[in-house]
Amino acid sequence: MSVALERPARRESGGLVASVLSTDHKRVGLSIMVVAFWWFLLDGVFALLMRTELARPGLQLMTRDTYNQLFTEHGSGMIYLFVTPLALGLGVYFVPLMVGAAGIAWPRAALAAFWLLIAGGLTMDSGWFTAHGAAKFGWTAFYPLSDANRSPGLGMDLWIVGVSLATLAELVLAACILATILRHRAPGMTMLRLPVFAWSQVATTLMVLMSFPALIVAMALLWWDRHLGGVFDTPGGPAAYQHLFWFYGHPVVYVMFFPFVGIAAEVIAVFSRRRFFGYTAMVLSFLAFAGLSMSVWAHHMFATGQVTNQYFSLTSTALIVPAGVEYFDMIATMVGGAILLRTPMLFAVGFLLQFLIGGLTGIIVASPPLDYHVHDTQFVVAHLHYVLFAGSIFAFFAGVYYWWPKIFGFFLRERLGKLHFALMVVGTNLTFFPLHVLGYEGMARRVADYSPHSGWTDLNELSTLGSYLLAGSVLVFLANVLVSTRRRQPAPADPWQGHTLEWATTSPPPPGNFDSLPEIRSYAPLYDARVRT
Amino acid sequence: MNRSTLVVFVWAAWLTVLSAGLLLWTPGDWVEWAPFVAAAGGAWVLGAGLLLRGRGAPRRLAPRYSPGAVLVALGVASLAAGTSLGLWLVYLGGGLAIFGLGVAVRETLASRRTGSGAL
Repeated sequence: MSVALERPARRESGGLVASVLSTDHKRVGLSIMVVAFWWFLLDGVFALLMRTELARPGLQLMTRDTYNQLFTEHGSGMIYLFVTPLALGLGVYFVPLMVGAAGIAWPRAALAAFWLLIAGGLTMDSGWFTAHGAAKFGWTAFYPLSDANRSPGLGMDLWIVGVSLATLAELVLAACILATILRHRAPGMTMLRLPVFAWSQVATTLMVLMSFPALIVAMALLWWDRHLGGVFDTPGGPAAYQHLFWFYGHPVVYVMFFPFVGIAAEVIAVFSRRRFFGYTAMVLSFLAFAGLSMSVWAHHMFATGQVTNQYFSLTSTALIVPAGVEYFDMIATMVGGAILLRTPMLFAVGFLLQFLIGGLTGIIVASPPLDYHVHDTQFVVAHLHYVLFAGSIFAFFAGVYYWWPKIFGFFLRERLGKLHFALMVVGTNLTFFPLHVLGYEGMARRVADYSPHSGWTDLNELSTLGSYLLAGSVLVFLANVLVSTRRRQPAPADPWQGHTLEWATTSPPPPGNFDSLPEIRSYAPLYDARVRT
Repeated sequence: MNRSTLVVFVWAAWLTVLSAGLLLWTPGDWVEWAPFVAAAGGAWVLGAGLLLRGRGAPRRLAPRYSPGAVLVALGVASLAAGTSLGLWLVYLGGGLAIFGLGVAVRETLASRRTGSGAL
């Protein structure tokens, strides 16, 4: 049985005007993802330049000052302009489809947020063209390094404005997504029938709404301090800045994680041909995880000696429990399933295995005595890249290969997808695993040079080689997009035998999303319909 | 109370428990606990807002294309960039944002009049 819906029948024109002015959530969501991916490519080039510099001791390619600008813009771009917007862009596109809504709540606000994001990114990057160059104090802009004396110049101010605008955009997008889930679900789509991905967006958007304002406040105060003084230049000022910053800075890691767990969970269930195992436990773990992840921010400040180590170490270690539940659920979904190893599934499994390394090293940095040893070293760089790149980006590509037919109406090539996956696995581990050893042995992060007598050259060369492989894997993906677009293999509405409502409409979905909806009795209505027939 | 509001209240209660733990551990260091307590308070306010508005408010049509929204965004961005690039850009951005708001209001009235637009 299906429910017919009254939707305004209309056609939407393509073209530039539609792309830049449309309030359709699919266009806005896709535009956000495309723009975010552009920043991934740009900031990936910055990373390659840095890795090339680090391959050998000495300064070969650039000055220390340029290196400082590169790592600042790389980190800032990847976090403020790529992974976070991507996580929310996926929500803007897919949440209304998954909850059976005709559109997103406050569509004009979502459109405005897209433009705020672009403006923020351009403002941030425009620092390259100023007299003192781009910002060079790291993506964290710690005080007093970021004050007007130590970091003079317009580029730093533009960075502050750019970060604020991008963060404001992300807040607005989160509000739109959450309001869609809470207020615009289809009849029958109760909260406990939301797909796992939609629940991951609930947790994500709640965190955005509660933690991102802290960054806007921190940026406003930093700007004030640089121009008028008197905010952070007090004995407790630098620690106060860090508290404000990390109150945003840790939850954002989970904002960049949860939606990708949601994608992996959806993909694993569909490609295991089973209902998702432990749905309720997964939902509870999302909420528990999200709350706990807001209580751990000061573990980034263990080395300052000015935080309550016991509390933050306890809450940080407690994260293992909900993370374990999520892992258990995803693995248990695969057990006994008829696993289909298509490209989306490969990336989802790659996410599971590689994120585990990031999670396990997280236990090390959650322990103050161990954290003191590896603080500010390449070990931390390895940890965060295993979480964000080896984890989230792999799940993102699982989502790309999974949802591409839905978004564009044709498939990406399977062979090129598998080549992309293989190169990316090898490249990722070659690039980031050696950094654990380098960091443990004392190689600091954010340095352009190291001693030729340190014994670190071989591992750095290996890491640089891995980064080229990673770049190659991204080129394979782009080639796949090109080839698949030029010689299209059309996709039906539900090419993977999906479980959730986005597969109940055409590929690509029409304006208004659905002409009719199947009966919704669980979080997997299409799976239910197949079982019944 | 419907379940969607309940989710927000459960979240708020969880944040309250966690922030209360921090507060009890470090009562004197307000810089440490203040952001967390504020976030927990924000979650309660969000839940209360949802409770007051109720569920299933009728959806209003929004215009299919919205130059007004884009103008507001660009106005706000120019205004913010003007704090670093000069007062002229603050004025320009402010003007653009106000003009954009006017356009947005006209778009709303037009789509209500014609009954067409995006849901």
